[in-house]
Amino acid sequence: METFFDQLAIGASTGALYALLALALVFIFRATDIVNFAQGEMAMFNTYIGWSISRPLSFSWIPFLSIERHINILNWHPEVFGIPLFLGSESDGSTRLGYLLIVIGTVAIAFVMGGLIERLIIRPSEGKNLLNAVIVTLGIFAIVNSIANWRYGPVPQNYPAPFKGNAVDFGLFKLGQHSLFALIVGVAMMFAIYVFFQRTKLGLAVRAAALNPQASELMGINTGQMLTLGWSLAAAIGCLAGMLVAPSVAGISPNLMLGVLLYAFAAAVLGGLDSALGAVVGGLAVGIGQTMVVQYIGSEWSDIVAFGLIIGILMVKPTGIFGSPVVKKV
Amino acid sequence: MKMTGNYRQGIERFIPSPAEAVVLATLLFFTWYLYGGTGNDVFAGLSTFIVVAIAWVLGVAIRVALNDMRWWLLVIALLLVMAPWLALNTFQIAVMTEVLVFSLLLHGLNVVTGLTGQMSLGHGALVGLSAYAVAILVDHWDWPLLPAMAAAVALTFAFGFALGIPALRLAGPYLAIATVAAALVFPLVLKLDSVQDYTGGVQGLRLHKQPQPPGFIGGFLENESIAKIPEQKKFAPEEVQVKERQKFAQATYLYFLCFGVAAIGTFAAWNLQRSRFGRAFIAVRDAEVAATSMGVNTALYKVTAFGISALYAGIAGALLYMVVAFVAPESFDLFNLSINPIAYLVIGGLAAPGGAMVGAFGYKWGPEVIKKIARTDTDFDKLQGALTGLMLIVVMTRMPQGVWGSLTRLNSFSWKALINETKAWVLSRTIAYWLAIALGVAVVIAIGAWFAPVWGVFAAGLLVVAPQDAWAGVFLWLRSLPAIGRRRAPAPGDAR
Repeated sequence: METFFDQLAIGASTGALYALLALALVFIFRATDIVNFAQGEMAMFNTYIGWSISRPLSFSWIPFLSIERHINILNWHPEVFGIPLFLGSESDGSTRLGYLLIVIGTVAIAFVMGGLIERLIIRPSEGKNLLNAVIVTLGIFAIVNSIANWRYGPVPQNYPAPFKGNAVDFGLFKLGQHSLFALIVGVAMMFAIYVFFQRTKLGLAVRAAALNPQASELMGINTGQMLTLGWSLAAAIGCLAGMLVAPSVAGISPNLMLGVLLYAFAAAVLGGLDSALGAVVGGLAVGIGQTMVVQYIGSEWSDIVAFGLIIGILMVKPTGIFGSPVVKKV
Repeated sequence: MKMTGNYRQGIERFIPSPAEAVVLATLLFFTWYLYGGTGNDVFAGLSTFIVVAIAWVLGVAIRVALNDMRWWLLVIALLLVMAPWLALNTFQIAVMTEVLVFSLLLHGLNVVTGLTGQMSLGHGALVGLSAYAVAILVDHWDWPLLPAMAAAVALTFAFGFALGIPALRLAGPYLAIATVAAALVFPLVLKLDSVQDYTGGVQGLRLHKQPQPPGFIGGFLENESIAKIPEQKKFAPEEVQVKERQKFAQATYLYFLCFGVAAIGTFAAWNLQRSRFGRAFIAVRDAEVAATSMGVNTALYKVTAFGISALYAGIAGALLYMVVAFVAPESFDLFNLSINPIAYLVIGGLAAPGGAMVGAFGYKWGPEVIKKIARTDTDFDKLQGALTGLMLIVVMTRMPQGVWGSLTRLNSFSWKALINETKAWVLSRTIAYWLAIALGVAVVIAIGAWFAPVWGVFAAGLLVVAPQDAWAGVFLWLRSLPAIGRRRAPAPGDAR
């Protein structure tokens, strides 16, 4: 029975990551009606950016920017729970950016990149055939994947994780520190997203722009900006998910997010592509179901069960569990 | 003779229209590639130009006779028949054969996605089902190849109809994801332990005996004056030459088998689109509710569309097994046969048989050409995906109707109108705007010193996706050129 609860906890932790990526998919689908196949690759590339800024610092190529020298003069290394906040000295003597700084920097870059992609690539293909936009996201997928392959190579690289220690024993179940961290961050992000969309004016504006562009334009909302914001947010959330996924698998590689994206799709469809709650429930269900199948049936069945289940559920509920029904008009 | 839109007189008849210029340029590039591409053989380049020149002269001659664009169909058909002799080696003949097979798959996809508007990303599973059915019948039950292929096509056809019934409940992205799920599950099921006896597991199944050309055809194709063997084998011992000739005869026989099927398939697809069924499909795509109220049985037509599409996919799968002589689960991964075909179908042009042909051609030859260029630069090889992706984005943003749609539209293209529009657009911007653009380019170049290749790709993408800004300079330069566009023949009522 202990293994059961262990697997449940691990499944919930993976599921939280699936749910994060599924939420990103749902944002983009609600805002633009596009199923974004490039979501996982965008996250992967941004995670790589996080990897490259997490490497030992050397700013020798810009002499006046040697930050670590300036900051080290102060000899000020604040820490939170043992994690260096800004700069940390590694055991090999090199200086690296602290985890928090890496996360902030990477998410900021991802935010800008998501917006740029929407403005430069998605917008020219909007308002035409829906299939065109989907093909465009496939194009982004191919470009980002091959640039990552070319720039960083196919070999998985170690990824920094803030907590790498032993598993925490909760009595009923044990959970690795990183999985616990991922679960906590995932749940916190979901809560933050909920608050943003339900309790802030900006979130309301984004929802309005997605729901009824014409009416919200008349109400003075800049719908174009809201769409860009939606893509930016989705990219940032996906990037965060990628940074949590990378340490829990073999490390970061160009195909890091491919499997995760497929499960996130499964999660999003399971819950209904236009429902944020559905994405969360679907993500957890897919994550827990996957670990259970691997544990009790066999790992070669995990994908078959996951995708077979999706087809089955779509047969019963054609728009997912929480999705709103499609209304056809003449 | 009916006067069509491209009526010309005098010397004008010898100037290719924009559409013809595009076709000629494609021909030029393709034959250049076939005849050695970057090789240093003078004759290779010469023969390229000769082929294109013959096509052009032939074209002008037939245009003079028919005053019509349809002669291009004749030229393309002629080139397809001549393809085994135009190709450099048996490998290239095999690629051409696969182009024909894939054009069948794309015709099938076109019925369900282009005409009926149901997004299916799972056709790889149908192709795989058919290919594996043939393979298992031949390998496990020792059926002869032809009956096995017929049985597999029938099975896939029936399965497609059956698949269409649950698909009725799904729409738009949900259908797309359900079909993706089917395409994902298919290769995994093949690898399961319980079915490994039949499917051969990861190793896959091999066809030990490809169909041999029957006596007189084989004798004809192996004839010394007919068979084409590689240059470097010209002076090889007799038995090597005979073997090469047999290889050529085998590849060419398979090519013409597929050519026959593909010709029938294309003709059927062409006619289907204009038949009662085709119009009903389009009605279902464009206005489902309206079609229902007009008495179109939408459910029946949707299921029929799936069935016809599966029929095409089944034929493609059976032929693919015959041509490649090998199936393995890896051949049916998500991108290979499910997502890439639909991407190239959209690039080629939806809802047009010509678009499917162009798409199949691009799908098989695009990567080959890129590989050829990649030989000069190893880094280029890794960026192959980026080039494909860039092409997808460029075609989708600049030609939403696909290559075929743009080709057919080029007939009404006018340089003058384009230049006038561009001029008006450029003048409507302030100088500060252009200075800002120049500053942006300068910054990109400056940063490029640090991260050059990525920014290069980025800037190249920008040039094409935001063309109004970037291409404006090019159009300004074009303005200084004399307008070579087609002029309309003066109508009787026109003012002088």
